[in-house]
Amino acid sequence: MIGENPNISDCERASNSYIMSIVAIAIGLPIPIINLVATFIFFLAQRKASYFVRWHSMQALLSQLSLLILNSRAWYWTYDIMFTGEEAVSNEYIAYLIAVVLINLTEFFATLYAASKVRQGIDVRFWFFSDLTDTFVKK
Amino acid sequence: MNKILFRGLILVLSIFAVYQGLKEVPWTKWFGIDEKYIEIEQEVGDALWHLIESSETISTDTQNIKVVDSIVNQIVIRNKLQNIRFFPHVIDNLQVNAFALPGGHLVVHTALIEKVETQEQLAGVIAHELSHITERHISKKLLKEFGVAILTGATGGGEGARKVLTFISSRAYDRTLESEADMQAIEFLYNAQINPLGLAQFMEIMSESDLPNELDWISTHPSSEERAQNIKNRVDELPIKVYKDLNI
Repeated sequence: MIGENPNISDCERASNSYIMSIVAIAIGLPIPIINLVATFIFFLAQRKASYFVRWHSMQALLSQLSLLILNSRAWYWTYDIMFTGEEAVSNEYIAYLIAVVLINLTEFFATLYAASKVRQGIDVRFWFFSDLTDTFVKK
Repeated sequence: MNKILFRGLILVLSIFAVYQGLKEVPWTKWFGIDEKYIEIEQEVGDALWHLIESSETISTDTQNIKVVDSIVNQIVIRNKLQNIRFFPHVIDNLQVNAFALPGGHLVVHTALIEKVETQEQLAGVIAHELSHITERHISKKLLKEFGVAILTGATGGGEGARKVLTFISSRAYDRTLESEADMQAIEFLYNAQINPLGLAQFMEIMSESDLPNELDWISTHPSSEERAQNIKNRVDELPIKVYKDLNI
């Protein structure tokens, strides 16, 4: 368990940090940075919250950050194809788009799962991001 | 920290492996994207050519047509480009110009044919324009300037098509594409046993000439002399070959 037993309010706030990134996905897909900004604002708002809430807000933020990099590349690649003529639709481009969609879907369902479990007070640790979160968030 | 780095590395490698795997699938073939690109280019090119046909005088000089056709044929056959369609056209026009349209249309002005001192020089210009076709530079240039919308809109004719045509016939490509076309042209000419130095010679002639011309890629390009030198350097690197004497 991350921190001491969280109360119901903490569980809801920690869960909301994941929900925040999911809610922003509708806007975030065309403009990749929106997801991150929404999650970051939520993280800032929780700076003085309990360790449990801060930890999950940070995990949500870090996992969004990785998506930002991948989604931004997809966005600019598409822009180059559509408007600059620098690139053409290629196997590499389609493969990248499919990979990005798969990663986004994985992230989406993982985030949904985390939001639901954390709301019940059960910890969810994402591979790699949880370790990174441990180093950033101190008790 | 080592654990984080290790897991991070595994994550990055996994994503990379998925991407590499997906890249091996022939998606563009499955989705028919290559065919679609070619189809759109041909439609746009045909529409633009019809616009030229309706507003310009098509040359009836059989010798000029024969010279241009013959040079194109030699380059196409010797470079095994038969799978690409090319439509050379000669039009009566006083401006020294030649340009490529999407879909394989190559337009040569009679003034250019009269201006060249040797047929090798004309072959050099033609090879350069054919390179823009084979390397799909025209589509890149159009997409860069107009975006997808006007490119597909050009097939409908009208103002959009006219704008596209003026742009294609009067503007140079960017430096990288021009150099790429120069190098490709050398290869085409060399394989066709036509002296590639004709291209460099014509560039020098035009850069020194005060006559008005529309060959923007030669006349106003700031590095035309440098490009002529680059062509000579590249030709020097090629194995010695006995070139045919073009006398069409």
